[in-house]
Amino acid sequence: MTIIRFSRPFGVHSLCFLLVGLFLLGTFLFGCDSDRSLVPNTHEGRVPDVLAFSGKIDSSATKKYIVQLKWAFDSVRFGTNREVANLRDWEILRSIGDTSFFQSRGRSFFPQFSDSSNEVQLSGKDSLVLFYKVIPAGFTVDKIQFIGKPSDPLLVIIRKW
Amino acid sequence: MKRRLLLLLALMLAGLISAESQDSLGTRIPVAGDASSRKTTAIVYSVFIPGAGQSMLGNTTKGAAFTLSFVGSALTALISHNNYIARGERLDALEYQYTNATNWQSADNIYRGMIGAHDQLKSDKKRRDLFLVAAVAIWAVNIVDLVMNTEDKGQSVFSMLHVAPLTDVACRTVVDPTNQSLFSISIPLP
Repeated sequence: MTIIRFSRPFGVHSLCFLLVGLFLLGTFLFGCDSDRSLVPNTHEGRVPDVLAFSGKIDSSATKKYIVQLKWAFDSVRFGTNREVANLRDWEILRSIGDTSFFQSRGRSFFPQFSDSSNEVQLSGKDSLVLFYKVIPAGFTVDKIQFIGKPSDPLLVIIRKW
Repeated sequence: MKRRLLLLLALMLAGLISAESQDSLGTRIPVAGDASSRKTTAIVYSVFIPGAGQSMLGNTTKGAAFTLSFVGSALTALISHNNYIARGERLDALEYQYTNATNWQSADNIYRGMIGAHDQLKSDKKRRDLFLVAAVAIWAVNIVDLVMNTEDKGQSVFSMLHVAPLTDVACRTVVDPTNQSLFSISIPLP
């Protein structure tokens, strides 16, 4: 059996060093709270982005101008099942002259849209500058229908033939 | 940053050791009784206010340096901790907004804000920890210095402090025309 004997009782010095040790230990423990992590990014890819957005100008049998828009989404990544991909439809917006004010032109369940409204007819003008945007929309999940990333504005210029 | 702080701390300690012999404030008389009881009192002072014990034992420059550096570090740590808590609350609010966002544009804006708030949170935590460690190190060095390296220079007697006597100061009682007595002091300015 080992007997530990102290040659002299604890003095002020021992007490001080004990206090220093306790303080250092306390600080070490206090400083050990783990770093707070950022919540994962869930808005990217929640609804498939619009890809390859393009447009061309055509005319109807009655000589009206028709702007035909086409786009796509990444079916390799998201699959072709729209419900699984969380892709309900697309909203098409149009602005005339500049990009300051986009107005909705309707919704499409397919990645194409034709615009032959009176606003895209020249009606005496030489040319018409139009901007289009497409915004994908997801299905309503937990009472929230998530609106996806808008496409870049597509410039379409209609000139007199 | 850490290296700079350590360098500063080392320089400060070196300065303190060299400054020890230069401390003088007024006249000090050697302690006739038990010197270890004065040292014990000084240690108790320094445990609660770093540098107070050194000042009590007559090493005023060193004591003041310990007090100022400790208070500065502790205050910076406290402010950083306060900012850390505030950033955490801001991040909580942004996370709530992010999880309830209904469109990509607002979610993207909120997420950018979250990244910024998270970066600031991390830097606040880093600063808090750094200055907390500095404050603890100063506190520990203060105690070790008091126990091992600070000699008792004797008791300071306030009445024996060297103060230049004021000459030509006149005090008198005058009676003004309304028969009210006034006490006047005149001090000649240089």
